[in-house]
Amino acid sequence: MEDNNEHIDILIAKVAMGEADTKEVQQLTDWETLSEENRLYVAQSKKYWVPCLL
Amino acid sequence: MPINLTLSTNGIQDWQAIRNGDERAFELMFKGYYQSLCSFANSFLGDIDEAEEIVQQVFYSLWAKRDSIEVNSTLKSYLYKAVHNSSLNKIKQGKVRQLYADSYKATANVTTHSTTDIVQGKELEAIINDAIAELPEQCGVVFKMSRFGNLKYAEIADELGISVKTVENHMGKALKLMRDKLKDYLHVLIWFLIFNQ
Repeated sequence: MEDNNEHIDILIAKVAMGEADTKEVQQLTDWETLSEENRLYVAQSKKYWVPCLL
Repeated sequence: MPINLTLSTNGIQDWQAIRNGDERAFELMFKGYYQSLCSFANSFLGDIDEAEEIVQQVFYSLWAKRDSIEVNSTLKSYLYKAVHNSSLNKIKQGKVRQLYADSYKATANVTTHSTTDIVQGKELEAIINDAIAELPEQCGVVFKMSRFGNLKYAEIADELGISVKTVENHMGKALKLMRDKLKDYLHVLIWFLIFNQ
């Protein structure tokens, strides 16, 4: 799970920073909708990430 | 030479105007970048007075040596690179080493507080700063350049002489590490997000 999420972490960071292209945004969205676990992972990551960027 | 009323996207026009001695163009650039450059320098030095001194010196040198300085990248990139280098030199000189260490200890102690405490404003900032300080060196530099410098991945890659892919990897790693380090403070972060929307 951790190793698999390395790529997802990169995608989440890119999307949050406005660095992702349309294909990458779609890729993250697709992964997010695969399971409730994935959805929670992305949602929680954003909650940690956003305050760190302010 | 026309006077620029706004900073141009790549800064080429602004730099040409400054080279020609246009004080208004210089003032505009100073006002446009001063605060963010101070935050950027402060992220390395941990001392806002030292940070302001560094930034002021960079601007002074830029103006004083405008005839001989060559800006090969964007003006913004040049400024961040100059502040980055000056900040690191300052640390190497050891003038702020003790202050940095004291500041680090102070923020590190904050994380020993009970997570059930009501942690607000500056304390949350200290927690985040502590987590940032614990990032691996290159990862931390990349993250700070993004957070405090508002630099794009490509600009960071250019500044550090690394690939954009490496910047992406560092930012992904920073996300993972920050999530791990801040996991006990999720309720505080949610509070912060709600009250800062």
